[in-house]
Amino acid sequence: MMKSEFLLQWQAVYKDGTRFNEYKHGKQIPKGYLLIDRKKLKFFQLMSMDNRVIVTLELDKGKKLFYRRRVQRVILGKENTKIIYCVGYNMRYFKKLIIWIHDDYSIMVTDKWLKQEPYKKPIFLKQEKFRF
Amino acid sequence: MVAALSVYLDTVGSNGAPGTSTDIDALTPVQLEFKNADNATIDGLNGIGIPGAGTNYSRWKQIYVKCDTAPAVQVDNIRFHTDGANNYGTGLGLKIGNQFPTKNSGSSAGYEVADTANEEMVAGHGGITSSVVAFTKTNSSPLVITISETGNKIDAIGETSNYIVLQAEVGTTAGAGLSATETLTILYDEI
Repeated sequence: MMKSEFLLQWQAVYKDGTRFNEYKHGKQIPKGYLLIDRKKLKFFQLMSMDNRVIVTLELDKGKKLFYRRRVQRVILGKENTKIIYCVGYNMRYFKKLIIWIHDDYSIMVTDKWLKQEPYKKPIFLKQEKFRF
Repeated sequence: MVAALSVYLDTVGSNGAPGTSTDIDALTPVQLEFKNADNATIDGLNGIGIPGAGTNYSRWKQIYVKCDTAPAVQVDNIRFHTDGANNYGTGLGLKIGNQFPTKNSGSSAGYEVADTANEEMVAGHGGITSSVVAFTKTNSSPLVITISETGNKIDAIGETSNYIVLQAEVGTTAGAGLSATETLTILYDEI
């Protein structure tokens, strides 16, 4: 039997205390990640589906958020699919913080993209390009 | 829901118009069998044949990733790699094309039917100009698979990657019978 996929949800916490969650009434909000108001963003959290906070990222001025769900599967069959969540921020002078969350909830923190998969750099959306 | 992607294999038909698209996950067993026939059947038939000299080739396999459940935003950054070791056995190999013939939700323009026995992909496939030993593509140097959907991303059901073209090769030192199996891996990012 195929095991259930490792699944987390994100939540944006704004400076005024309001929250914007990836899911609303149990359904994923289409394009939700693009709707996050980056100017108001104070924290970005990854939580289990039963709302336990796994990681909270503080986003001060100048920190550019990025987030990806990385899926690794063998071509032949989905049984061995592995999921890793990647969340972090870019700062000035190419400084960055990257948090990798594995399916056993172990966490790895790096300050650069690593050379090996699944820790390589993702493709960034245009609006996330580094600008000051 | 998060995105759900399947891997499909196109076979038969004619250039630009595959006759059959098979979800590899639906095969029993879930395997991709390199053989001297252009089908998705796992039957151990149509062996490639051990050459007396030179190299024999399987029909090429044209596979792609297809979206079954749409992501919230997009899927991109699709990569392919192996474990870096050829476990097929002596005299056996696997090549992958360095180009990715066009396949998307509206077109199979890059498809070339594998209708000729023992035809090497660079020589016979119009969309492939070079190939590489698949086992050189490891988790530290994967092959980046291109997408020709709008925006070079997958963001709707039915959207696909371009074709990944694979071909097995058999040398004179190969032994008869079924080879060992290999594991091929893909990765992608989603938001």
